[in-house]
Amino acid sequence: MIKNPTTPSDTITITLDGQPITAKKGEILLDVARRNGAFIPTLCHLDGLTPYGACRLCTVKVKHGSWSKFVTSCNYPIWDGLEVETATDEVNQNRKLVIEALLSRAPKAPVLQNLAKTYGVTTTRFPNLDPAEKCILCGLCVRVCDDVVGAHAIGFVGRGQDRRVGIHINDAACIGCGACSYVCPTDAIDMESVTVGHFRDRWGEDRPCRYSLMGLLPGSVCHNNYECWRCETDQTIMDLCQPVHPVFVARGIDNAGVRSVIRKMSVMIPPDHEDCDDGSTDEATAGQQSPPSDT
Amino acid sequence: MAVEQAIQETKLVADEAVRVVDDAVANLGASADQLIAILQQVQRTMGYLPRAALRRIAEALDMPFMQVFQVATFYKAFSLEPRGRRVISVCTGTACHVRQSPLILEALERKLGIEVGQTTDDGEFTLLKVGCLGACALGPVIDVNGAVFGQMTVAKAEKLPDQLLKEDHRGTQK
Repeated sequence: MIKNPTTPSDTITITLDGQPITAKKGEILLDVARRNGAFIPTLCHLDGLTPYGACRLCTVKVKHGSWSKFVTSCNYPIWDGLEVETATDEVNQNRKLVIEALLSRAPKAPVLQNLAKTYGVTTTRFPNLDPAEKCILCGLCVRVCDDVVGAHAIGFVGRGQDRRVGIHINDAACIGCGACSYVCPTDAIDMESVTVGHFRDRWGEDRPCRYSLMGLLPGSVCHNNYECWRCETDQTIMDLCQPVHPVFVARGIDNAGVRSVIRKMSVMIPPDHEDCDDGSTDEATAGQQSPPSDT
Repeated sequence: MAVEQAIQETKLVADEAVRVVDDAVANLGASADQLIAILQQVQRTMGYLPRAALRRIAEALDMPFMQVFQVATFYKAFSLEPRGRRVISVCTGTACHVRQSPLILEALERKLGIEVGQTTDDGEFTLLKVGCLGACALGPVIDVNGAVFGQMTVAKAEKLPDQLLKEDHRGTQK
């Protein structure tokens, strides 16, 4: 990375799509760009979690003089004099390729179909190995389980094309909080039917309440067979925490950030797009540029 | 009863796994950066990584079980299932591939009645497909527990399992 040692102050100037922007040195490019109204889609990014750069959707072009490079903006710290292109033909072309690749893996995921529509991707040139596959290996569930929940119940198993997300449900690590299912951008984790079944079997008759395991309630016992959506406690907690998953509240993670990213569709699609039925004016979606036209 | 016997066997494996892991940790030190070295030692001693061993390693190194599991499933050198007494690795690197190693692999699959990655029922052979073994001039190459068999043909490969069994038999008679 090119560094400019002549800047003594912390405030630096970068050029974002031709506009000069001031920001703090070392801030993450994605945050700065979104704050200044650029539309950059992401799937593997979540405020409060370690940046991962797995989905490649946030790839932008950075330049300095004659030097230029494509980087993932979600984990790129900015520096003085940086020029950034977030929606040029070149960047969009690259993004379309990424969308094609993701679509070939998880063709049924609504979030990907929306993205494809936004960017004018109609077909994918890559073969699909499993039509039922929903997971795009973005690692959000693994990171939320490690960083936020602290249960370390989920991890990547295998490698290469055999890589998948695995869980060791019998090892008493999973607390059944459902944060993984909640952050999953493609709804690949079916928490309630499969996972809770294992969870139930493991605890037998002596079932601690999920919310007490999350640290939201003092130790209490579940009387409802882990069918939380029918439980009064669940309703109360959900009212308290809406629309953030309770575990984020329990861990004191900044709600606004989590909320803005977690509303999967509203983040993905610019507000004036037809699929954006949310109607919200979240800070993440407000004032974004119009969707890039088909190139 | 068969079930009781199976439980007893599992318990024996678990006890041995704990012993092996404790030895490895004592030798190499109980720090997270020794994880792979410890896994390698257990793999060498036991031939595979039993679940009980992974659990013991996680306890000893004070790291989440899942983290140990991720590493253990990442590397091809580790196996989570028991392997046969002889691990036959057929090289399918570029040089061996162009010299028809896929046919040799197929011949061995037929001969042993198993597919790549499986172990014969009698626990004698495990058949693996590996990348380049670094002996391209000898290709196609087969490696059996560290012994290299070069310039293989389908006919030679078909005789190999019996040959290995005989050699072992002679070895034990002495």
